[in-house]
Amino acid sequence: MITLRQAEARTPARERRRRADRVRETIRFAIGFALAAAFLIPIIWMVSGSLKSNEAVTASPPQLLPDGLHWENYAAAVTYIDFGTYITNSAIVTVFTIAGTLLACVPAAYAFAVLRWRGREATFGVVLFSMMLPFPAVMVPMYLIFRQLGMIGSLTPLLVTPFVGQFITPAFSSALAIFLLRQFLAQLPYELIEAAKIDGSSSLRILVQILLPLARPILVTVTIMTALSSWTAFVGPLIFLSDESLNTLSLGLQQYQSQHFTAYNLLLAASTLFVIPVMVLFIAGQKYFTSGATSGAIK
Amino acid sequence: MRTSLRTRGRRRTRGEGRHAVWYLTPWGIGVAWLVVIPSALALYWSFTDFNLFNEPKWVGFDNYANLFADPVFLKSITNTLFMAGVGVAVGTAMGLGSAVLLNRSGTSTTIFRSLIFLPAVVPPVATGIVWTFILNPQYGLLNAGARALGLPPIGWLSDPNFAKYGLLMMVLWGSVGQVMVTFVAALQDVPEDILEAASLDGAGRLRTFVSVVFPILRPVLLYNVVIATLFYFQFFEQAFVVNPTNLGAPAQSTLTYALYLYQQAFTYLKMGNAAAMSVLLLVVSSVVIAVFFAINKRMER
Repeated sequence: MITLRQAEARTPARERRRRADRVRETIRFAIGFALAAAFLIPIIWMVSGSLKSNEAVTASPPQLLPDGLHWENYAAAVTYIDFGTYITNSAIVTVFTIAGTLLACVPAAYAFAVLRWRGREATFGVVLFSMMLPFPAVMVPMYLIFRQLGMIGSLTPLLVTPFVGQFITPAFSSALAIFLLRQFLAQLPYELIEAAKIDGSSSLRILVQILLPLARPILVTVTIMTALSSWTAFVGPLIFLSDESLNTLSLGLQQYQSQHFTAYNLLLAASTLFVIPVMVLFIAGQKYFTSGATSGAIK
Repeated sequence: MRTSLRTRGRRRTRGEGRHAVWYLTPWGIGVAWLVVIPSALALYWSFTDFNLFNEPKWVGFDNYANLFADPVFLKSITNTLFMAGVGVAVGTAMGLGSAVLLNRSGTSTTIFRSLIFLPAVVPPVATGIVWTFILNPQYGLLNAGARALGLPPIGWLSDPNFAKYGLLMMVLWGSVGQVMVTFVAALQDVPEDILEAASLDGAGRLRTFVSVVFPILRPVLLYNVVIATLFYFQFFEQAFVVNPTNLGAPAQSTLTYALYLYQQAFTYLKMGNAAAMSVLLLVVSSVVIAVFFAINKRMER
């Protein structure tokens, strides 16, 4: 029991602690705010630059606010380069990459997570290894193989690789997709499958009718990660596409920078247009992005 | 207790093995076609004078010897190791710091976390373009801030002494948020009651962090260090974009290993050298991966 005296003696200390907590919370908020602002500034700078006149973009000292809203930059940006072709190529590559990744990686993950066969763990070691394999280590021989097959100078290398589970970017890869899908499928209750087996369902039927509906969250995560990384991919397209008319938007922007270096505001407008679809996707499915980023780290 | 798919008995049936082959066929073709064969070819070409147009002729270890006698090659290695060292340390520290800071529920912290993560989804090419503007010594935002504080402007991408830091800034801008979310996810696994018990025992914040929280974070820390190390070993995109027509400028201070590999192959058409560099990268990365798995296994015990 607390006597009145003890309670009185404690009050100032508690008061002090509460005040210290409040100060700490305020500092925490201030640092958090400053950090978040610092990370947001480059994006604001890109958008604001895309609305400036070209003189204002390179004004010294920099102008924080645009000199009027030059929306015409956007119209000019998409005609200055072959924006329509580039964005179409990016879209084609992205659609094929998603389709290919799902078609190649879902069955593979199923074989690793659910089916029982000799050498499963050892084979899965290959997945783990290729998850971390640096693309530059294989890009030159890959290029030469595609060249031998006459595929350089077309979109084909980018369209084919996902279907054989070899889509690789620094951010995401088919191997990581297999890994994430396998993790998810492996923790589903086995009774589900046992029961379906007793009912005489084939293994394909178990995958399609029982497991895939349950795996929706991880399928969405993998789809989003694949979409993001193929939309923004740079090294693969740089090496495999040698024809300017085949450029994806990543490459188009980069060439734009090196060739038409005078139109900075248009470059920023084109970059903004490039980022917008990704931002929309991010706002719509933020939890899938973060779960995609964490699921490799957290078991 | 329900059995999960992973923990059930080891009984295997022949039928499932046959099915597994079918399910693994596309991936298996890919591994053979685009991993095994390329690696084998790279190994072979690394011992030849292949230049894309000739019949490869065996030259033994000449390519390797030439590379290690090439100051630019050595420069690309020190550049890469330097950026890996600084980038991994700073990126991990910032990611962990912001995770500890923002490991709260509540609207404001959630928004802060989203904003710090946001750059992770910006395409590297766009990142490179925007940061080229921000880091410019004349009209750049960063130097305007520096000047306001009375500091001299710095050529963050044009001065060989600073270009690596400029490049690191733009990479960290995109990666800190990703490191942060992994640590936040791990921090949520720290059991509330253990923290309470520790504080009742009179353990200070630092003490609690070191002896209770840190062991839970350790696997995630290891994961982030390995992923970041492997990222810098193959660092290419932003480094390419900031100087697309003059790779590695200024004065080869931003020439990464991967950029030099690319130059050897596609600028100089020295496929033998490029193959040798591929092999070296493959070997070094494999060692890093193996060490990672070994440490991971030991910690699980």
